[in-house]
Amino acid sequence: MNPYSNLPDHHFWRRSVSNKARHEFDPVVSVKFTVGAQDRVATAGSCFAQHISRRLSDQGFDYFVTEAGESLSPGERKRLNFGVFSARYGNIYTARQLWQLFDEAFNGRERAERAWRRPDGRFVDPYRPTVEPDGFADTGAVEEARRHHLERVRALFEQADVFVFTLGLTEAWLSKRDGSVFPLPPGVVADSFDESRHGFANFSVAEVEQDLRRFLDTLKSVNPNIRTLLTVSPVPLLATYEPRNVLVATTYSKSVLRVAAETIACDHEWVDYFPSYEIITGSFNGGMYYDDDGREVTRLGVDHVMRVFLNRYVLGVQPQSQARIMEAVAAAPEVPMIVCDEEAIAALSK
Amino acid sequence: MRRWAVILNCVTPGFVNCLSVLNPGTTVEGYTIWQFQTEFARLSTELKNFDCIFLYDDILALNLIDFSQFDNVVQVPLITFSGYHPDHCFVSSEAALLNSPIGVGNSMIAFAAFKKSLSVADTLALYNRRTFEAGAFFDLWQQDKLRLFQRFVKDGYDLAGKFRRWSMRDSFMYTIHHPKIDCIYDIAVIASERAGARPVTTSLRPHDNLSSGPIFAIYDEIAEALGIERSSFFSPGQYKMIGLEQFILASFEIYRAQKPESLVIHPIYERRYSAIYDFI
Repeated sequence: MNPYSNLPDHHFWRRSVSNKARHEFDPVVSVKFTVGAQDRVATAGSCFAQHISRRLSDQGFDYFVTEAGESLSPGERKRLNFGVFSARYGNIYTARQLWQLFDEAFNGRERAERAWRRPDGRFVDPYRPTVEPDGFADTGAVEEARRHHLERVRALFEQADVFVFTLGLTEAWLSKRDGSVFPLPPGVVADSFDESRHGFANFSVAEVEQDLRRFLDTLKSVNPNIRTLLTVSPVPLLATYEPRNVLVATTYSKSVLRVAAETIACDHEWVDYFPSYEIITGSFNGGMYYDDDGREVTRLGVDHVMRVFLNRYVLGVQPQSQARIMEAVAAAPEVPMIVCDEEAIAALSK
Repeated sequence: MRRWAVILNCVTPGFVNCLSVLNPGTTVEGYTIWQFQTEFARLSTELKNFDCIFLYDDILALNLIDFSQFDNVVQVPLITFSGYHPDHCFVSSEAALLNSPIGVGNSMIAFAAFKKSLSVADTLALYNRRTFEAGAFFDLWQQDKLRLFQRFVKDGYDLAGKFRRWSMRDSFMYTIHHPKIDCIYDIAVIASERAGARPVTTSLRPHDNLSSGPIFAIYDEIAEALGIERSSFFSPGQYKMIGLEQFILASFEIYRAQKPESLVIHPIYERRYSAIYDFI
């Protein structure tokens, strides 16, 4: 007898990983809540969250979108990035960016930098610089669009039943004047980098945890029934500003996010951690869930994530027990040997 | 120089090539079970001259010859696996198995639809998740995995780890009877050891001769559930690929040429076939 003697299979690598075929791997042990067909499911986060958004939508969920560009044609909606996420906030890479958006929408947080000029003379919103490909005519138009956006963000957080947030990374560029973070560094799409105005941050576990706590506590106060699912994006950093290899920087970033997500989920009974990160990055899949560039997630990987998500959070499916499978095997007759072609049939029928 | 004989089914050429690659200096001669039966008189005498005979225990069970007279028989596990092709079935007419457009493998859904006099278009629409669930198609992979493992254990082959690798990147079967060359190679390694040899494993694999044989389609929903790329074409062989609609159309033509009352599903498929028939 030892402390591991009577533990279930998921505690052991051999039983829950080595003995499973790739597609059978399911790291979810239990779920804190399930998602019903009528639940309004909202999403936000990094690039990987876009996969989740698309699949939820494709699979008939009530994918909750409060900023859908209803007056536009389907083609224009797509071109103008409506419906990519539940509101038109673009990629939200960091927990700080999420809290900042929420703080602005509900508490009127002020921003020091309000519009950036592009090289073509058009203007963009520094906090979602790519959602409007054509840019805005002037700073007033940027402000007007943002007012509308924040109103839709409020509606989203007040009315969603389930909020799925994918934590992307820990590195960010920020305004030295008020600490606001930007999803893209100044100078990439618009404005230009100015050392006196802009700084770099790489958040710690404590900082990410603090941002998540502030966001979740306030979210709960405006929407007491909401449930939240945290995931960590398995997509490596495209670039790091840290003086180290981008893979090493990725490991730091994802480790911080994973620890923060774990801590937060442990502290909140209405917040769960969904291990899509482990499904994509786990050695069990032999690297099959990354594309040739070793960064983009393949369709097979997204399929696997969504299969586990649907089985566990939507359908409430439990993995079939070995005993049940054995019963089925015993009950079903075995396929006979050799029947391959006419010659075989003739031979066997003698 | 060692001389080995192989008596298996369609796997024979691939198995012979694998043994040859793995065991330099060994002459390996292969006979399919049908060749063996055809040339029974000559081969049953000839077998005495081989240092080792590789065959399925299913062939032993046929009692074609008293193999107990040989102390150099190495049993090889037969691989049949329906997990990727749960729609595959055998159909009989006049007590003989009836070939589909790709050979002996018929589609259970197409046959049930034909029996219910459905059109090709209506039959095509049946190839979806709901029908697959009705036929318990999604359960078959795990069941057949266990069944295969039981066979490996019975034959004394430790292939559980290899199985995981076979299923890692793609389907390891072309049809329910035709494994890909990696499976055959891994079995040949253990079989060589059991024959007392010391196989030399390298990255070299013989050509996969069964790849130009019949191929049964892997439907999209099945592929998605099994985490592999979709492969929705059938083939009668020689890489002539045919789509599902064409397969159904040709299957119906074959069924129509038979006496309707003579067409029956093979008994081993009765349970799943009935579930689909009732569902349609």
